[in-house]
Amino acid sequence: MKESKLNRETLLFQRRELMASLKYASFIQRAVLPDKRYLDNTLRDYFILHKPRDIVSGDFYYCMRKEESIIVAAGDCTGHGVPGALMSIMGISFLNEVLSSRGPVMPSRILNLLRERVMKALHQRGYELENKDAMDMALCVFHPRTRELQYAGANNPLYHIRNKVLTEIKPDFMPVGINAIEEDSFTNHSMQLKPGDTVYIFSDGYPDQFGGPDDKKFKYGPFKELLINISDRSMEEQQKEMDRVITKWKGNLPQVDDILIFGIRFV
Amino acid sequence: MQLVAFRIQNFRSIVDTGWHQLAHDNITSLIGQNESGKTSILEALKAFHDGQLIEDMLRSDLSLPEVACRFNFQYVELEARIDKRRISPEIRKLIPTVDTISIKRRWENDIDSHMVMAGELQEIFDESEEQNRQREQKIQENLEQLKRNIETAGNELQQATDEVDWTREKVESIKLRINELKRKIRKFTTRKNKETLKTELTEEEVLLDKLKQTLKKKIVKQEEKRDILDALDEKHRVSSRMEKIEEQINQKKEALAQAQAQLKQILQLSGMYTTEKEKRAAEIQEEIHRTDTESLKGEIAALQHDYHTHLLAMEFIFEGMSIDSAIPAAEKELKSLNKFYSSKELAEEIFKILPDFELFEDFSSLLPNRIDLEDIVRANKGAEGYKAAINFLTITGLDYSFFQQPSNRILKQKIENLNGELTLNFQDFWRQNVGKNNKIKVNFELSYYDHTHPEKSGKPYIEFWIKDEQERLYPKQRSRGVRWFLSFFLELKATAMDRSQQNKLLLIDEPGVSLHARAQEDVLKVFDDIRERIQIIYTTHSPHLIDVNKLYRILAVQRAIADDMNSETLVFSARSLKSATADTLSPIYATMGAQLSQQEIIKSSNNVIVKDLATYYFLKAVTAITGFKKACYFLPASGAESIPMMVNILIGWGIDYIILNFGNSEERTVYEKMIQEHYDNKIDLAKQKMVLLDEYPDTEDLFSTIDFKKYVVKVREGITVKNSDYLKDNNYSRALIASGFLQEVNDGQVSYKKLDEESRENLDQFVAQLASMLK
Repeated sequence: MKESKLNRETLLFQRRELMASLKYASFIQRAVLPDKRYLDNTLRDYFILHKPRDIVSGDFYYCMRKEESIIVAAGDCTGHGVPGALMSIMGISFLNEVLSSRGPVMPSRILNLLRERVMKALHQRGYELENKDAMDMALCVFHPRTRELQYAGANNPLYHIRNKVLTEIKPDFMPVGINAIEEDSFTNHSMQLKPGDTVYIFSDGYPDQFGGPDDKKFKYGPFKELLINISDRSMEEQQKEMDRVITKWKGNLPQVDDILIFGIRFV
Repeated sequence: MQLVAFRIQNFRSIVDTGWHQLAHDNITSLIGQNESGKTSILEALKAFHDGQLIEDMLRSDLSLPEVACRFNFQYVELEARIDKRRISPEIRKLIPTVDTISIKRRWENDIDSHMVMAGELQEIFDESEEQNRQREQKIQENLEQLKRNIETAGNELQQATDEVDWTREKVESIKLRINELKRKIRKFTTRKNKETLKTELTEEEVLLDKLKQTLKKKIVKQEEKRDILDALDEKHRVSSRMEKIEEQINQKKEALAQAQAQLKQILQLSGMYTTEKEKRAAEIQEEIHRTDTESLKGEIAALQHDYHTHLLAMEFIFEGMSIDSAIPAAEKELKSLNKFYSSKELAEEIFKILPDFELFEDFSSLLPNRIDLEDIVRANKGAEGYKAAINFLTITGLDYSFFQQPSNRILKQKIENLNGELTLNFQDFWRQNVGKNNKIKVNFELSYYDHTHPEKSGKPYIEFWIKDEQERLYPKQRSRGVRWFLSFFLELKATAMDRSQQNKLLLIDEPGVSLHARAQEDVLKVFDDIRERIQIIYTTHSPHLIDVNKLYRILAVQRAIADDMNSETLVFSARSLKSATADTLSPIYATMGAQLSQQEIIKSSNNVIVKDLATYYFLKAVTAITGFKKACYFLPASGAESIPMMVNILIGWGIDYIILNFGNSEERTVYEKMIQEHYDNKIDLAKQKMVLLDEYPDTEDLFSTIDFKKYVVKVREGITVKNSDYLKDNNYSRALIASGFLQEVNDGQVSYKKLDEESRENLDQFVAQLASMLK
């Protein structure tokens, strides 16, 4: 009786320690994400819906001003929880490193350079039994002066909505990291924006969430419809509505993955 | 069929080469220092083909060699020549789908070898052998159990017999006792005594009845035990027959080993006999021992068959079959098991359609001054110049029967007539002048040994003469180069005349080692001309026998520890040449320099001086990829520091030039130094003559990392440094990498379209800048 009580107390102690450690880790993870003031100053009209599945998250968002460009990204690392978080911190650090180096600020180039760093860090060489961790990512570079938006995607697309019409720009189907087949250069896409246009980059957590009356995935079709329906609302309202819808959809089911949606309206 | 790869194990200095691919275009060159093991590779391949091994081919630890070769393969080639019913269903399913097939030769001792399949087909044989092994193991276990059962049954029978004997003795003693009692009853008259004795008699009689009953039972039990033992003994008769066969096999194997040892001794001594009589005696001895060994092998095979029949019969007996039926059933089963090709048999069938491997080496392949007719008739391959003589006779359309003319006068006349027609036209294969008008006559004569050769006196020999318009000399009186040329020509010509359908693989040890550099280049051209018909593997030290644009043809051979000739031989394929030592690769480096001086001609203008050979190759590739139209002649210096010297030379010759400098520290230093020293700090003047590509440390940095990985270094690891730094950090040879890349560009494997946006943009900018500097 005495021993079982002791075991219980040990377990409770370990749990407390673990939770404290994870909470501190989440604090560090939040610290490496762009802070709100920087985002407000850089993007002005935007929303971020970030709902980690666990205390720490494998999804991350990124924003950086460089010369006359604004770089934004939404990344989704393999796994969630602690492994995902470690990958996400690595992703953010490598993005910072790539953007601090010389050379043109082009999304495809940034993803190419980022992939080299990830592959090198994880010792990926295309061998069978090696580590296969990687990250999916949508990355945009916006030039406010010319209103040009460039995008490159690693498995994650970009949605552009103008006057309630959604255009999807498809990504390259390979991750930032070792690919199943030989890696290729990422493709750079470019478009001219008009005032009021909104773009959304996101992880697959939202459309992949199970729920609803039949415990099914939310899916991309309804996700697009929802974005179209709310695209004329303020960004703050959009975030609330997205949150409300997915919370209702999920109901009592557990959240399956980290959720991240990064919406930006250009003025 | 074409040999595509090989693997050699335990052959002279080779422990295990691992699998090595040969060049796809049928010409493979083995380069390396003396004693590195190049010739061993050729000899191992030859031994794969003819199975002949000489003692010095064994390693010092006497581990037996294995040589495996992989050939490209189409089932249709085999289908027509093979009994398809003998291919097992598993093999029949797989064999049409494979595009290569591997065969291995294994030596059982230094004389005997056999072929087996290797690779994926062998896996099927291994599986089936494993099943057979398990089956045999099961039978052996049952046999062991049978022995134990016989022992137990014997003990039990003994025990039962002892009990019967004991009971029988007891019965007899009671019978005696009863008789004694009866006798006493009859003798003693007192009533009391009589009564007592009668009571005792009754008791004894009861006991006797009981014992008789017991005895009966014990006898039944004994009979049962005997029956059991007899049944087991019956089975054991079959197994003891197996033991006898096994004993016979061992005896025969011992006899075979002895016969082989004797044969080996005879072979070792064969070169030491001087007189014809001794030679002939040795040959007879050799023949006798060869017959003995062959007959012993046949006997062993028959005994092994018998053994397996009995083994299988035992399985049936254990399953309950009668002994009489088991042997015929086992014979039937064995026949059915042997119905399909074994690995060895299939390999032997495939061997029949493999290319014919010919080794061209000096002793046997160079045309001799003379050869005994007897050596030709008896196919004495060990005779000097045997192969060259045979080649010559093949070309002239003769065989030894030609010389069996009863009349010497007629034979001499026939030879004279034939010599009139025999002119070898070297232009069939050669561009190099050999003799006047590229024509040489090889004359031959039949002569007889005189008294100066008492051992051979009166025996015929063929004598050869090489004759051009100037002189008539013995082959050995001509230069070694001409003799090699001629002999190689004979080899090619004879091979071309061979009507058999088999492909040819020519293994050449140091071709044209005594030839002039230009003639060596001709040899390489000949290889290129004949490679569709004859696959070639050759060893060389000569830079003139290496095509620098085809480095994929190279296999580098070196010792594991440089300068230690006792260390094992390693082989590096073209893709891993960077791991070979500089000494091993010296012919490649030499040929790069040699070719450049021949290929790149300095023009009066548009000469572009670049740092080194690697830069030269990269820039040739860049201009090819971009379809650069302007005339442009890249001149490589031997390093950035040599650029000023090269400029001085060109200025001295009055030749126009520009200098292309990349942004690395050496070239930048040269650029700055040149501004000061050559152009007197006049920047405008300097900029007309020099370009500094500041953004790119080196030529390879013009490519995006991903294109560099895909097309230049062919790796998939993450590269986070400049391409040029990656090459340095990983000790790549820039020259080799660049040369390989240029080759792929020239072969159309890399094109502008395949490159990504970043590379294309960089290259476009670069060539635009280059164009602006050129006239």
